[in-house]
Amino acid sequence: MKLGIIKEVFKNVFTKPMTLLFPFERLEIPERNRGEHSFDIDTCISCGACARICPNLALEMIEAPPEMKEKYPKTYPQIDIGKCCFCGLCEDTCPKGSIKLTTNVFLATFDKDDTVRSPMSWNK
Amino acid sequence: MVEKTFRSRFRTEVDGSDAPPGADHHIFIGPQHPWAEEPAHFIIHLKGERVVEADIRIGFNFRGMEKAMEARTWRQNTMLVPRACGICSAVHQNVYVRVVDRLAGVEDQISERARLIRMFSLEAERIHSHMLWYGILAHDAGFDTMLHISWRDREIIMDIVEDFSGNRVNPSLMLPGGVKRDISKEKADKAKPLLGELTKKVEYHKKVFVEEASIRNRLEDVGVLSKDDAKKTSPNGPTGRASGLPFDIRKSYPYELYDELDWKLVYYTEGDVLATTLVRIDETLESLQMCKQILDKLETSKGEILARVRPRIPAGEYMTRGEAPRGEDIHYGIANGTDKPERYKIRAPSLGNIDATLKRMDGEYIADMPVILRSYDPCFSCTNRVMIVNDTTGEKMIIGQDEFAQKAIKAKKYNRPFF
Repeated sequence: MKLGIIKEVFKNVFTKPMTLLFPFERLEIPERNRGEHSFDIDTCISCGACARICPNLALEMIEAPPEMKEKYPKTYPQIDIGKCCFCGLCEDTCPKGSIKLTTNVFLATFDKDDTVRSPMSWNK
Repeated sequence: MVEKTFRSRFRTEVDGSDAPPGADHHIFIGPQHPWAEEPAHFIIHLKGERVVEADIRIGFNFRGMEKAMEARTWRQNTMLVPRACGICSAVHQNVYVRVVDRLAGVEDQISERARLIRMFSLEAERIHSHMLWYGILAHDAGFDTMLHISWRDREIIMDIVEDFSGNRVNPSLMLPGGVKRDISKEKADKAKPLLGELTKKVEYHKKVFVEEASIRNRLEDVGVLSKDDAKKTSPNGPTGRASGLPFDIRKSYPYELYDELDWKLVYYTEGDVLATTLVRIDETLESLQMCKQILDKLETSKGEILARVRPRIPAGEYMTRGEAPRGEDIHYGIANGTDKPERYKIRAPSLGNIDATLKRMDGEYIADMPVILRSYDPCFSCTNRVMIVNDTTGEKMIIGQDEFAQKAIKAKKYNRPFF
């Protein structure tokens, strides 16, 4: 085995690189990935379980803006992605399955305020 | 003589006034140093090129996690505890949920399937932690090819963990009462051939470490910790098993379903750095075959994966431990009948291995320091729970944990600064 590790080096010279050219090709993210949340406001029953269980207090129950108050009279969760630790407890505790964690992991923003998602503007 | 040999090495004077006699140079490594990824301060007393004695100071990365746990509920802490350590997150979570299971009295309701999934998470973590470690060891020994090879192959197990749990290093699969997510048959079938492939690669890694002269000469007979010294300094985990102390919590005090699996305890008697490496590589192979057994057992096992646990935990206290990749992980929790813990204490494995590693350095060359310091898999993000606090006024202050807690409570009560 004098040449053992050298053989491995030569083998690697002729194989494809492990890395990918990111924006053009990307790895598939598994469906269980805990990424950005999706929220369905129509199924939400405003129980507040998600806000109570959140370890980082990233979720907060707020009221809908005045123009939408008629349609959505209760309080709904607003999330600060900057505080979230993506543990998925809100997803587990939601009785109606309104909150789900998706595979979107590209959450960097230029402005710190952009990390806050109001219940109306969450993606569905 | 006894006093001199086993004086506490966690304490040393800044001006070097308590340096051992005969030392003519003192080398300070850390807290910020290219060798170390994590902050620890090593003081190495030298005579010529040989080490006379070494000291350590830790506590640069204290995060107040135990205090933070008292402000959160038991359920929320399930997601805080794995953050104690960057690599061994599942084992911290496992020991924590076992404490909560016992305190809540649901220990016998946890199904076989949930226990098997917990064990898979633990063993997968042991595989990727050990592979990471011997890659870094090779890097410290100046053998970067091995670093790249082992880290490349480590991606296989990382992909499996990510597929099962949704995250690479922080699977967070466990909850009090069971596990969060099931491992379906399709996922298990997808993982089995990958585990076989990884086994072949790890066998090749072992071959490199055993047969390749350049790495073997660097590690063999370096930093020998004899069995007698090991008994005195009481290392745990792979560090102890390399010195001929065949002690593994999984075998000695089986938890989950480790007594139902077929596996053997790995230990070596040489005590040098090569032995610690081989212990870990053999354990990786052992864990790989355990993972295969678990996936086979999962096909037939039935049961609910999550038992109901009430948020309020009845008053009581319980201590338990588990075998982390680095050694013995001890958790102790006190419940007071509310939904928050009264007190929670974590003893992370690296702390138990520091004394043995400092003993290992005596009489070695300074050039061998990187590999010896690496030999116990230092992980200070989880170790720094011992508080040796220097005051800002320049006055030196060493306080214990209880005193710190009292001070913190008083500072909060009377709204005044901590010191």
